[in-house]
Amino acid sequence: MISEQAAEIFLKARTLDPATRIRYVTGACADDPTLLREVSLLLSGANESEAYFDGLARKVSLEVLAEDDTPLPANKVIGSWRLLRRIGRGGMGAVYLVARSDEHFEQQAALKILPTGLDTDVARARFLVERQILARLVHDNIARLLDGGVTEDDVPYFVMDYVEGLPIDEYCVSRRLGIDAKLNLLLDVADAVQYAHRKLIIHRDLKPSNVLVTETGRVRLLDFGIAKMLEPDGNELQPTRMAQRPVTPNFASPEMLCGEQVDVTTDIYSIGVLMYLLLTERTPLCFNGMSLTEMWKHSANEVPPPVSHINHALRGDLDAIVAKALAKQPQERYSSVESLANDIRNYLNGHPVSAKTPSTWYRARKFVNRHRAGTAFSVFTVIAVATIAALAVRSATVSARQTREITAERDRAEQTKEFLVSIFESADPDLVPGNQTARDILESGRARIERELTDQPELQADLLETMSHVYISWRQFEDGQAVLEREQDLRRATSGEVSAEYIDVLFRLAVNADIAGDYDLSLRYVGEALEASEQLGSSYWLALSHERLGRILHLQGDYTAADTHYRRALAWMIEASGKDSMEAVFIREQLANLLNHQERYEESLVEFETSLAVRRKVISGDSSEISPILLGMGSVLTKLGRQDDALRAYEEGYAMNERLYGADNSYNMYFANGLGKLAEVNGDLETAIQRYSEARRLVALHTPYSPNMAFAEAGLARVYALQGRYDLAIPMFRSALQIFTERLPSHWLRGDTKWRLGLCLVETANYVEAEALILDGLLVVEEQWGHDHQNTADARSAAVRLYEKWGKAEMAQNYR
Amino acid sequence: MGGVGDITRLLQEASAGSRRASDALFESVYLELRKIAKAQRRRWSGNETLNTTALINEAYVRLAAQDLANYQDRAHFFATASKAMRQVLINYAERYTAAKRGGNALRVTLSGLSLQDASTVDELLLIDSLLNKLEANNPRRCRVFECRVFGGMTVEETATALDVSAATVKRDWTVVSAWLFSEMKPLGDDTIEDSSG
Repeated sequence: MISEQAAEIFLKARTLDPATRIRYVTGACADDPTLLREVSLLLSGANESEAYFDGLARKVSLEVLAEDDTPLPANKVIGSWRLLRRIGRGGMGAVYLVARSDEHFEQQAALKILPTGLDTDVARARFLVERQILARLVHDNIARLLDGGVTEDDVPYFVMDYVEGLPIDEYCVSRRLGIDAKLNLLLDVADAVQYAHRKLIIHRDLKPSNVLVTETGRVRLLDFGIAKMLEPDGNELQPTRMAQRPVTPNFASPEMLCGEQVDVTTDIYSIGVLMYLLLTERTPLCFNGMSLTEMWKHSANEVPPPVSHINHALRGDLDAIVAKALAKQPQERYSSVESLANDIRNYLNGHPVSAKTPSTWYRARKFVNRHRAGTAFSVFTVIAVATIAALAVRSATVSARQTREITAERDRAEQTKEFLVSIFESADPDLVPGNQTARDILESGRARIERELTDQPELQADLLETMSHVYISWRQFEDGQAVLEREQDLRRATSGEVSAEYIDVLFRLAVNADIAGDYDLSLRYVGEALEASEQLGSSYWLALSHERLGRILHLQGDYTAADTHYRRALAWMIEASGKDSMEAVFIREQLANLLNHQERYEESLVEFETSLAVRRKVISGDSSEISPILLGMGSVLTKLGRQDDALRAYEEGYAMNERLYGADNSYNMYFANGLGKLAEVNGDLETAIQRYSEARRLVALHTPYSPNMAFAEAGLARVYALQGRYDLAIPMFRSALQIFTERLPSHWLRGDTKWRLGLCLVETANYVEAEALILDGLLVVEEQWGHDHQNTADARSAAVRLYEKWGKAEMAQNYR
Repeated sequence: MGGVGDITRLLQEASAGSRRASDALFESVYLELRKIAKAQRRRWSGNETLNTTALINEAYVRLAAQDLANYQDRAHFFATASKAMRQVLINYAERYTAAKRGGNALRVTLSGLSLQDASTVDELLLIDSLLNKLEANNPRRCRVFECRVFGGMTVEETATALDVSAATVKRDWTVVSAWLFSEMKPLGDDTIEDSSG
């Protein structure tokens, strides 16, 4: 046991350096061997002991969430932000009010930081996922991500809008809002949630405290802390276990409470609860004092009273809307937030709403119930599944800003497919693999739509639209075409040729044609869309049509025509949404890329810089909207000979992507390729090989058989050829050429690759094949760049080299 | 469990030196901690996290928060709760050991608090028996250790809870850690000469 004397000597000895310590201890315990032993024992572990028990405390209280309870000191500076005070904390991070001073104004914001005690791999991954989710969401009704990074101690943080407001229910009560005003607020909520869904993000925790309304009546969605990403950019950033967090039972869907897989309809349910709450000032179900099992049962079985029974001022249509949103079975709810919002709008405008019983939906459900045993899958499940897919793909087809290029679209389609498959697997345990394919299921769904909904052409068209997204995502051109043409007929009959719906189906027809590689057909559809947009007189749709046209032409290498259309698109979009709108900026970026390809580097740089400035106004930190601009700038700066600036832009973007998406993310294949090119231009061939190889590896990881692969391989092959390593260069060129031929036949790089491959063959004395390749390649390049261009001259010199080495000097003469 | 007022009364009587009140207080807090731990465990199936500190906090909120305006009462409550937490953990550890002895490789989880590896369990049991020895010799040091390790309290909180200075807490913490550590190691291998040489 510790004597007081020993404790005193021990404590004193601790303060001394080792040499004096021995002298002191031996002196103090001179004539007491027991005391000396006691003190010695205490000292023997003193260096580790406190840390050890601190560690034990943590080990014991783990799976550790020893959340650091001490707030960070006020005025501490993190990044460019100064902490003012802590405004919240939870398991997932502490939130501080922060300010950034700048010459002109002081900006306040909310900074969320991972508590130091919480810095486990899982918590960190979860935290980064939230940051990544926020980075994707740029919407008026969602608190924006402003900045992000890690502190000096490597603790991740991010900064978002600081929202001062009231929870939506309190706001409605305090302002004594009427029914219409409440519904209008809900429409803003729906709009934000729908936007998130299009970005493939499910919020999963919609409740009043996460839906604030500001002084000016603006709705702001907060807290994507448990949101789920449907498309984790190829990286599994979301450990499934972390998905769980206590949810407020009042606002959670039955499937969420049961811990089952959730999809977008879980958010629809929560919006339904919000709607119920705002309209009646009470939640639909009451869970007070229940155990979890009781909650499950209650949530799954108890049907809340219709809202009109509580508030007699409400009409029956609202009952129908709320009931449909709150349906127990996810597939019986609205299939998308958009359709819920449409019904609310219909209600506000006095139009009939879709949610009426008994409706076709109702009949269909009955049908499904009757046939459940017989068919492994139901139309209904198909529709639910397809709708989710639609959410994924629609963004790629309708909204230009979503889609960086066709390849990105394909990535997304691929992931959508995977997601679909997983839904298919989880949705019906009776489904025997091989017995019935997803395609069969869709097929029978299609037949049923035709058969059973003949009296409802609009609904038919909507369902076909949904199916078309699935076929497009599956790259099933034939099926897609059949469905789309049918939808086109229906749209023509229901909405007329001069309508947004009709233009939309034309866009999808064009995308479908892209899949088959039939660019002429694609152009024809977009041309029709353009005509319809002109007649409709909608600047927004005109902008989209021109942008779409420009993009196809751009991809095909028709730069002059693409230029015209991009510029028109830009003008229309500025008229439709304003100069600084994200849509306009997106088109400007496309234009900048085009100018780059046209070798109009100075102009291109100006457009990129303009875009960057607009984006930076909105977003100050890492952002998925900014890194693509840095990519373009890197490329242009390389060509302008500003190597150092180019390297800086590339490296900034590369690092940003790593922070945003983690290592080996798909975006960095472009940066790796750009860095390869930069090194190639600088004559740093070893670096070039490293970078191109990295690009190739990343492409293989994300989009194995895509034009991207051709670019990376062509680059790598060029460097090998420069080094005289023809054995490596030739197969690489061949592989690239094959992809070009199949995927981008009219791109000039196909010609470039051809003659370069030919030149390698010259060096290995394979003259016959070399001649065909070089002459063919030269033709393509010359057509693109004209007779006098350096690219053409390079190709021509290959011909000269060929004939000289082949001993046909007179032929060589023709190419000098 | 009695009403909220009971806790305040018990705390006051315990501070005034009533052994009976202090026992009753301990029992209330202990039962509440176990109840919370069980409920949490059921609700989040062990996936979610609730550390000892959070557990004690919740017990505090449930039992006493509305009534204990003053910081010192709060601190006293926490000191009691830390002791109760120690008991909760030891009971789990004992049950784990018993289960293991019975050949049943049961993983004991307490609301996200996993005593997954046997060594941690053994350590806990050893610490408990050492603390029992210490209790007789210097109860204050024992309290300090409980507050710091089982209650997750800071030096300052501990000081307030135990009505001593922060410096005393720090010294006690240093001494008790060093002592426990030395007692837990196999004896005789380290001497002062070794550690300084």
